[in-house]
Amino acid sequence: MTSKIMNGGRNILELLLALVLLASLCLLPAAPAWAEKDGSKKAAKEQVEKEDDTGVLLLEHVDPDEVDDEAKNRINPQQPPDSSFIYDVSIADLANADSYLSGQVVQVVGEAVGDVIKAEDDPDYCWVVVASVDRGMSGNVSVYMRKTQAEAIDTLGRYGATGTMLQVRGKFNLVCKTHSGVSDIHADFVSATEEGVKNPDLLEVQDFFPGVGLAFAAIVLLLLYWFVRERAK
Amino acid sequence: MWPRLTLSDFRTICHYLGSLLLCSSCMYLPSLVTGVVFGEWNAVERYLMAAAISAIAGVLLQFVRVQPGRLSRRQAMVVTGLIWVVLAFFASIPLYMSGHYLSFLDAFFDGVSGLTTTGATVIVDIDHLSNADNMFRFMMHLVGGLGLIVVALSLGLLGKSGGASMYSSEARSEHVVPNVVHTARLISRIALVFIVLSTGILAVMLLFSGMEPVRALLHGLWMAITGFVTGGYAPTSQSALYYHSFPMEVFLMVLMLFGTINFTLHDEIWRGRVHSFFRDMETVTMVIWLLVVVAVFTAALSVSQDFNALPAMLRRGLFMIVAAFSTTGLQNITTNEMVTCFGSGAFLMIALVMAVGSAGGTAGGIKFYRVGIVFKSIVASLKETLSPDSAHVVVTYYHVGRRILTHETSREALTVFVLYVATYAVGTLVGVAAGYDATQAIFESVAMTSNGGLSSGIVSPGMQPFLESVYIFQMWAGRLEFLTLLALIVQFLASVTPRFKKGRARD
Repeated sequence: MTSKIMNGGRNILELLLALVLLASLCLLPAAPAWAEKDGSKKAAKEQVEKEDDTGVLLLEHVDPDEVDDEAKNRINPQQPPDSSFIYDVSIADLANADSYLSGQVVQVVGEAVGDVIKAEDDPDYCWVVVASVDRGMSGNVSVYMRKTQAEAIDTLGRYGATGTMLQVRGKFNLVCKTHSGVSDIHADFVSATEEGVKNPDLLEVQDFFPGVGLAFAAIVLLLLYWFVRERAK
Repeated sequence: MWPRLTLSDFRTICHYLGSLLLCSSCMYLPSLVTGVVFGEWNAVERYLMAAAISAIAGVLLQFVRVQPGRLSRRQAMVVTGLIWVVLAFFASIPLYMSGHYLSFLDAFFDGVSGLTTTGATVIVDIDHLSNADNMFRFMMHLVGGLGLIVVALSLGLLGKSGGASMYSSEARSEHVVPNVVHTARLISRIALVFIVLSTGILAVMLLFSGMEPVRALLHGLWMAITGFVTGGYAPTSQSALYYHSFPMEVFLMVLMLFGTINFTLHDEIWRGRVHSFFRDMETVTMVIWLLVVVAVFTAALSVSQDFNALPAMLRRGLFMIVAAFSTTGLQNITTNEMVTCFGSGAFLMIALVMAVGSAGGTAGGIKFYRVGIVFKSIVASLKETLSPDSAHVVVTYYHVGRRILTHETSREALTVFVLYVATYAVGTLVGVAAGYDATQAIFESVAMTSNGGLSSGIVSPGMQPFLESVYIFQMWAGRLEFLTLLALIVQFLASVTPRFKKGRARD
């Protein structure tokens, strides 16, 4: 009986010893962390003090624990993407865009072509088509801009004229709710990067010789056919 | 035993092809004049050469048989079938020389598309195209939309000997007046009135939109032509979207609908017999079909994220439905929006609408008349099944007068119906084999065969030559509504296949 009690007590002692050792092991990594924290606190404080010594005060003497509690430093997972980011894209990319680019601010460079069409919804606005000039990549996009912005266009691209190169920055809408579903860019900023150039056809008389010659041959053949048909009757 | 073409047939066919080709050299004259007016000298050179080449080829073909005599029905079918591709070939010459096509096959594609009033295009940099070239594209639409034979008959170039046969071979069923020449002239007159009036109205709208007067007049003329003949070409890369004008879109919808009306019914309306128009089987089928299609399309669009708002649905959706239904092919949205944002349901509805097409007039597709006949045939079959054996079942329908449904009428309608569906399927398989998505391949095949012209993006500059050739064939077949083309192919094959003599039985 005595031996059993002795054994039981020994077991309890061993168990207590194991628990103490375990607790020590768990608390051991925390010690350096505390030490770091203390150190960082010390470092922060020291940093502040050093800056103070140099005369540049960037931080006031603030307890780092209090800084973490300020609302403005909290991360908000519901925050939307930063819309101030501008996508520098090609017009061909916009012509084949999916919903990813819709609603984003984009910047494109292209040639103003066709006509300046008055906007139906606002007399101060107009529509201009900006076409891609990238080699091998065709496409165009309708740009909704103010009439004052459209004054940057000195030449519109047509036959015999290369239009003004425009840099347009604005919000791209794949399906614009304001304009009943059209794909467009609402321009915030429009600038001309290159002036337009007029290059009309030159009248070279010798270029007409082949056509005139063939026309003459056609008339001769027609007359010959008519003559042969009349003879055959 | 398939009929073979003899040397005499061949010579007669050459003569009439030559006559039509000679006549078609006048098609280049408006472009020539436009080029002179606007100082587009490069275009003037090209169209002068093209007109001369076409005239020379026409006269040389006429020399093959100076006195052709009467044109038989078989010969007429061959002439009508061939003239579309022959004319498209010569039309491709000035187009290719413009520098706006990556290959001659691309230019030929546009030539066929223009003449068949499909409206799909593979042109490059259309915004810098000359006014003369644009005028030519729309002249192709005008001539093709009215019909080459109709134009030739109107000008009295074919005479009575072959005109009637060729008129029927061109998939024209309207006989507005008994004389086919008078019918052709009446069709031309109706079209001219609509186009002139529409040009004026559209030009005024475009002036108010801020366009320059000359450009407003030119664009008004071109959009009037493309709208009434249900062509689909537009003078800009953005089609009807370019003008950002709701009144213009509404007017174009009305014009497209007028273009789909059978010319015989047009004549009835002009004569004040409006009740005849509303009683007609084509009109009734059209109304029922439109109601069903608009309901389904609206339901499909309403679940899409982007077009579920009412203004967008009404303005964009309705226009696209009318453009597809009339097989015009104008767009007031970008191709990317149609493919990406419409949803597959709405997208395929547009394809289905193009597949059925519209009434006679200038529209393509299977046509309501045939859909109505097929439906009536089903009714007749049901009646026959439910009636006693001794009963004689008669089913009638109203199409410019009360008519009895005959077996021949049913057979013709069903044959063309099946041929259309088979061609849609073949074109789809070729598109899929070329590596495209099945939905897009179906859409494109239907658009080509029905001469609808809306594109999901497969038709583009420098596309695969084999696929492009298949689409060219589909446009050609759709315009002729198959039977004339099949007759041409069969006669050609029968003529070139050597005839083997059967051996005599030995004792």
